[in-house]
Amino acid sequence: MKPRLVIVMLLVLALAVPASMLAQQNSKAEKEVRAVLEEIKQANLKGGDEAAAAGDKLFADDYVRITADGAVHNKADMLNGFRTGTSKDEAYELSDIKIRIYGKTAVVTGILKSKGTLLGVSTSAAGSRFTRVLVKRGGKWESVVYQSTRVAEPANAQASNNAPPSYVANPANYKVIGENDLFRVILEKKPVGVRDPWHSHMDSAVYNLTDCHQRIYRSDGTTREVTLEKGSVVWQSAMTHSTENIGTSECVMLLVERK
Amino acid sequence: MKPRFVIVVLLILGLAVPVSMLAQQSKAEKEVRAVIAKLNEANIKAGADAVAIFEKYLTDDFVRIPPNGAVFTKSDVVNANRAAKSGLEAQDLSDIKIRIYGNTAVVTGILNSKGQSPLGYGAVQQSRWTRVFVKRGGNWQCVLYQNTPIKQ
Repeated sequence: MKPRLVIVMLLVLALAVPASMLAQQNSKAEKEVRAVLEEIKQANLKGGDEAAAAGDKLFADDYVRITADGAVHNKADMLNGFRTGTSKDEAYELSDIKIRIYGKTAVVTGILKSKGTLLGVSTSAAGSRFTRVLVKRGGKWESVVYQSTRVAEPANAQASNNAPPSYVANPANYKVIGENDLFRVILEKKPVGVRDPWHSHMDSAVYNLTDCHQRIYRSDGTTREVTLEKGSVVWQSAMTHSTENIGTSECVMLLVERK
Repeated sequence: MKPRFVIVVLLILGLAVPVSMLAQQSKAEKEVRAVIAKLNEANIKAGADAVAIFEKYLTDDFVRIPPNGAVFTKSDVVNANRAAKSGLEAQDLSDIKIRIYGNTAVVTGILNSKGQSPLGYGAVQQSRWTRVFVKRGGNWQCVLYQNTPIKQ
């Protein structure tokens, strides 16, 4: 074997081993953090002394809680809330959880829909976007900060809720090229940089006639970037949204919508 | 070596380590404050200068949760600032608390701001915020920034 090849192989191995070890460590840490999130959820649902005991273990001594009203509470406040019954949830549902591990720190973001009280203040069932930061000390993960922000209706929620069909909202870019009693066929051509007004779609199949990189604005206030490949088919359920061509070429697609 | 002398040396060493740790924390705090100042500068400037700052001081997996609870990525921030002619009119940070956990910094504070963000959400007079930084390759970078309006 040539010496140069051996060196390259050794280098690849030297890089691959730490990368794989790091991935394994992160995956293990993610599992541990998920377990802590579940313990916190159970404590919030139980309330009382049991929750206070769990909170004492799960919250760091320098824990900071920033509520959806922008108020600040510390660990003692939180434990007291459990003990006195002023903090307790009847419902506690987490979604869109994303965990990022940076060594001994975990940064978790997600949405919490809860129903109950936090230190006597009603929590919103509508949902809040949260960040929880955890630090691993002495072999266990402790929460050091938790902040929540209410997910607001988009500024044009009204427009979003009553959004007209695409070909009405943006006739320059959406044209009906055929229809019968069951289906409507729409040709969409969106130039680079164009964002269309809020509009609605029925259940539909979308055939992408070009590659397309676009940002999708959803009615819950979130955005998502997608890259659609020429020749691919995407299925979408009826919904309202607004999309923006953030790529470098025109997006062209054919939509077959159920009436 | 006399036992008393050994004890004195050990005591000095025992004190020296925490003192050195405190010095490190204080250095880290200063560095993090400097990065926060750069990010604030970018929020006011917008345009190419802001883009350069955000490219340098935001991690690629940066997450921004603004006062309306939406989620933006680093590329959202960079693209919005590239296209923007102006940033926030004013912003003032107060009640800043920095906690250092090894190579991570968790910072909380109050923000008073005026104007429109290039990301498109309206001005919020006063909000409580959290920023999380990680130190990579000797530089502190922001991985998360969230703010919540303070109920008046």
